[in-house]
Amino acid sequence: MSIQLTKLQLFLLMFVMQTGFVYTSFQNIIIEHGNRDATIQFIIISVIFFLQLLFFERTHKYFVLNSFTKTLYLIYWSLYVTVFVIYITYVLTSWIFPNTPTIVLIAIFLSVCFYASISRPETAVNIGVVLIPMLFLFLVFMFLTIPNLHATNLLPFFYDRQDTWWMGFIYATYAFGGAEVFVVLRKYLVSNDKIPKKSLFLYFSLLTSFYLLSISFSLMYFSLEEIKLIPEPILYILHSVEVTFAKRLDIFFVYIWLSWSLVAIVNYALVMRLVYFEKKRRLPRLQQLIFFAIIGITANFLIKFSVLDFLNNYLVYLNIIFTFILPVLIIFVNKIRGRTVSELEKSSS
Amino acid sequence: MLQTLEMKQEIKRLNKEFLHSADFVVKEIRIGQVEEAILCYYSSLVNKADVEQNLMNLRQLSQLAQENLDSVQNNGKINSNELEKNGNNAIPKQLVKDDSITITTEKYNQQKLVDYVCNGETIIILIQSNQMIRINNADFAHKTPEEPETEQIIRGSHEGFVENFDTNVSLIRKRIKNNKLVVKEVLLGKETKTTAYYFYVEGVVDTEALKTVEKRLSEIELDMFYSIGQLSDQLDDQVWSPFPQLLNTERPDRVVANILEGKIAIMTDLSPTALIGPVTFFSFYQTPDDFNARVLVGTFYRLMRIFSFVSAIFLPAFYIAIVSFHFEVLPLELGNKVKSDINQIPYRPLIEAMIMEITIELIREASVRLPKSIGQTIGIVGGLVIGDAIVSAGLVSNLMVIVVAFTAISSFVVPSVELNTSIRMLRFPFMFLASLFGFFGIVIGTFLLVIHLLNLSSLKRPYFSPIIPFEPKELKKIFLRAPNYKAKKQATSFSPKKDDNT
Amino acid sequence: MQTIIITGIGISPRDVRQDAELKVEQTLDLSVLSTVLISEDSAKDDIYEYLDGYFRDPNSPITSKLAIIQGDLKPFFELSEQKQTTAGEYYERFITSLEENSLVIPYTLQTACAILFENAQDLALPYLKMGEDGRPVSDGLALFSGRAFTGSTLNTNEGVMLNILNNSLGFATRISYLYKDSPVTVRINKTKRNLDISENKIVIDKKLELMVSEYPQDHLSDDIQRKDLQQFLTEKIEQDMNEVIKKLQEAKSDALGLGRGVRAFHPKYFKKDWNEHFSTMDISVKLSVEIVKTGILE
Repeated sequence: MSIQLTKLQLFLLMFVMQTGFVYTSFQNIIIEHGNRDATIQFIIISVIFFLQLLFFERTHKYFVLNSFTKTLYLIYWSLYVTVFVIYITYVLTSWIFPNTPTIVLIAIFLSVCFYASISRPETAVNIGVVLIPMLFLFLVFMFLTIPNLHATNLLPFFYDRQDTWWMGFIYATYAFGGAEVFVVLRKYLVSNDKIPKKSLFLYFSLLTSFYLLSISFSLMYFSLEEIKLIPEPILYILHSVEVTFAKRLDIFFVYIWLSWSLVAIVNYALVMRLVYFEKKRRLPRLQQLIFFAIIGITANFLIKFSVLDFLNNYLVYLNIIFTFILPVLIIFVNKIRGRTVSELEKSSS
Repeated sequence: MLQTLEMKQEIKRLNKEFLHSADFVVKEIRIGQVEEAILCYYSSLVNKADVEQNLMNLRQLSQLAQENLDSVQNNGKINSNELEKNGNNAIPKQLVKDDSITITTEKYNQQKLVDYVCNGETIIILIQSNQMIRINNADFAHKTPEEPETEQIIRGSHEGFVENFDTNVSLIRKRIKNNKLVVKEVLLGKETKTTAYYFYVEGVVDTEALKTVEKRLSEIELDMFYSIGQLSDQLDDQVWSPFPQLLNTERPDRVVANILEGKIAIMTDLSPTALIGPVTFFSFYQTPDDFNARVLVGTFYRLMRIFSFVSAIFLPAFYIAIVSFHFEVLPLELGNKVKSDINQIPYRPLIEAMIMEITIELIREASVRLPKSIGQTIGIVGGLVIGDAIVSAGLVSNLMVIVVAFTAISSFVVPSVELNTSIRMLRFPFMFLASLFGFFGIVIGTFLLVIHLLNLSSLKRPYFSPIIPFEPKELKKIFLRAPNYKAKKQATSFSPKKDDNT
Repeated sequence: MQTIIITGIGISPRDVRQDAELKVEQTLDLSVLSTVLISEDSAKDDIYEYLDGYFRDPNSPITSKLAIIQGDLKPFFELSEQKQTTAGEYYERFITSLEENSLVIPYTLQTACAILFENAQDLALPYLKMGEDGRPVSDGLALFSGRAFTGSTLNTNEGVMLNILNNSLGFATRISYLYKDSPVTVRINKTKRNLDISENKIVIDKKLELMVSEYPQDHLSDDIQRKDLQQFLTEKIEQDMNEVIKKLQEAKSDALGLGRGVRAFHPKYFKKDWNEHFSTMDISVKLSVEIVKTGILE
């Protein structure tokens, strides 16, 4: 299986996968450790990841997966998607469906994802486009809260740090989970020449400012002590906004975010399909059905507060390994050995 | 030279061949002095006066030809061989006075004769020379090019297609006076032998789509062909999709606008409907009115129409979801009103909505079938009387009537009848989902709908272009109506080629 | 529409609701909760204890209004029987109109909660009492220190001053004085606040733009007269504001959020126990006033 991507499509895929489910939750944990420095910590981490992106763009041809690393990544992505599902279901049950059995919810939204992934790959590539109007809607909702923001909450920086202050840096990397898909998808680009630095910068500043908006709004809207109690600050902000046509914007946002996350799952499934079905395999549809079924059933057993808390605290290390350390390692090893993507494709064809 | 045909016998045989049909005319005539001939035609398909006129012309001509021959060859005798030559050369050249009539001569062949006569031609069989003269002056019944009732517009051309090849082609040619406009013909149906034809503009046309059309037309293996629906089923990429993948129109101006964008229009002799492809979802939302109206006005109404898509599909579902699951999203004052209104109703919102929706659908279906004079009465009885009575009887809440009426109106905004019906059907699954899962159901339904739309293609071209594949620059063409003077470049509907590599 | 008042007894709002459920044939739905009234006595403890349940439940709206009432709660609810409206909506409109006239600082359940958790600012909620004729009357603002009601209140005029100082003007903010034995009313058009912070001293540099809305002596185009009036207003308002500040300090309630400014720009002066520190600081208002409009008369 193979696809062709334009630059725009690549960035759209990346954007959805990188924002995905993390967007509603990660502010809380950074702020918990970094306090008012969260914004600065996030910006520093984003600079590091921007450098990584530039590095990836320069060396992406050395990113060759052998069967071992392939398996590692497939397991990691499956795990990631499972966490997605757990978290989505948890949020849905606590915000909207306290009574519906979780397995029903999971079955419904995973079957949609399944339908999307057995469709032609272009569907999965392009489906993110429908989110763009929702993004604007979300931004409008967020800007409605401006009168209630306290700009002074952002300051002072680097004052009164806690012992776990440095953990803020680590948790800030949550925002960039999924950065590895850039190197995975890079070879499918239509014109395989360089992506200009300007486009990379544009994409990255968009992503960063989108996250920064959520962090700074959370900081400005809540008081520091309060935000530590609120696991989904963005949802909570919208929960407390009232406009003339609707009283609870959070419900709308939950669904915007739900569609967002579903698209992210579909996109992860696409990346996994691309890696897994690079070789021709039998019964691709059945294999995908089994994949989604396993994920759904596993997730259903793990929808508990304690599990989520654990994941929230420790998933980030897995993230760092797979988005940052492993791709760089693979690239270096292959550079030393001199293996590149194009050579590999030539030899296999 | 074969053995000469026996006149009486041949007439008998022909009558038998045409099963003694009441409108089949076969009779003996004489052309010139010697030649014996049989005239046959379906009286229902030709104008008798025309036949007589043609016959007279033919006689005069053969006389003329004979005199010419006499003077050239100085030979008084005419044998059949020479008449054959005349038939081949002299007659057709000179007889073509009337543009609508073509005359050709060819060897007599019984099977072909049947075909020709069925096509409305008048055939003269020359007994001695074993030849037949075809006079094509078929006069099939059809209406005049009036504005189609299903696609009325306010300003612009008020012509519509008819059930006739020549008239239709002339309606198109009138608008595109260029030899690049190509019309190709195919025969459909082994038994019915219907003419289908397609138009495109050479150089502009999407060649791959053209290949697809030609391939699919050639693959049609039908014995009986009698409606345009058969054709569209054969040409569709996904027959089971609720969305039409070819644009149906009876308006020449719409066809012209589309083929100038590189699309292909397919028509048959049987109906005034043209199928246009490859189209996108948004083609169904454009009407010639947009381009005849002022730029801002056209843009506004185009946006309204796209909004109508959303309200026609989602409004009842949204309402059901709110009143049965998410009451708290309503602002306080409205919430109180809605609640007190709904508390009176014995049924669940879904049932309430179904009662109203089914009533509306019945009224619509009834008013399509009823004669025009009664149609309006039914509209009033259905709309006002039932609407009012159903509320006072306490079956349906006032708000539900508003919602359903608004939805019904929205669904009729679409300028295309097919999409209109699809949309009205689509809102039922959404209503079910909303009553089961609230907004969650709607989101899931929307997802399925979007994935389906993304999977769709029209003549192997992406159906949801330019949103998918995403072309930000093309977007404004859908939502806005650009001023005409700016369109200096030839507009093409399918610049993206990237999407389709499956 | 008929309104029924149900009372319940319990250890928490949720428990009370449970108890009240026993007395009605329907389920109580809090999704259209519009006002939360808390009695003076309850508010003297930590009021968050009463509110936690509302924040935890996604279905309860956290944009409701919040008010402290004097005395017993019951008469405040009985009014819905006479007024043909639910008490909740009545108090919501009531408080909204107070906000529009800048008599109280606009808070919703959520924004109030953010302040409760914030140690650099304290709450000041509408304070209602029952009038003699059985109508609820606004009696200024109830001052909080930390999460508890201090027991001291500001009267309505002081409430307006607090709003001006806090830059939280509603739709119309008017103040009246007697100037040379005739009334003068001005409407605040625009306010600006600048804090001059040092270790134990804060000077609030306040600028006001005024519009005269009542001034029977007329002739404001006269420069001398206008300057004179300006001078008078400056002194009067400054004096009133300083009194408000003094009251706040006595109540150890930083309702103006001065602490935010101190914390953000001078974090070393910001003490953990801000309320105590606030009450001992030397805080003064320096005002300058300008009349920019005189209505459609001169």
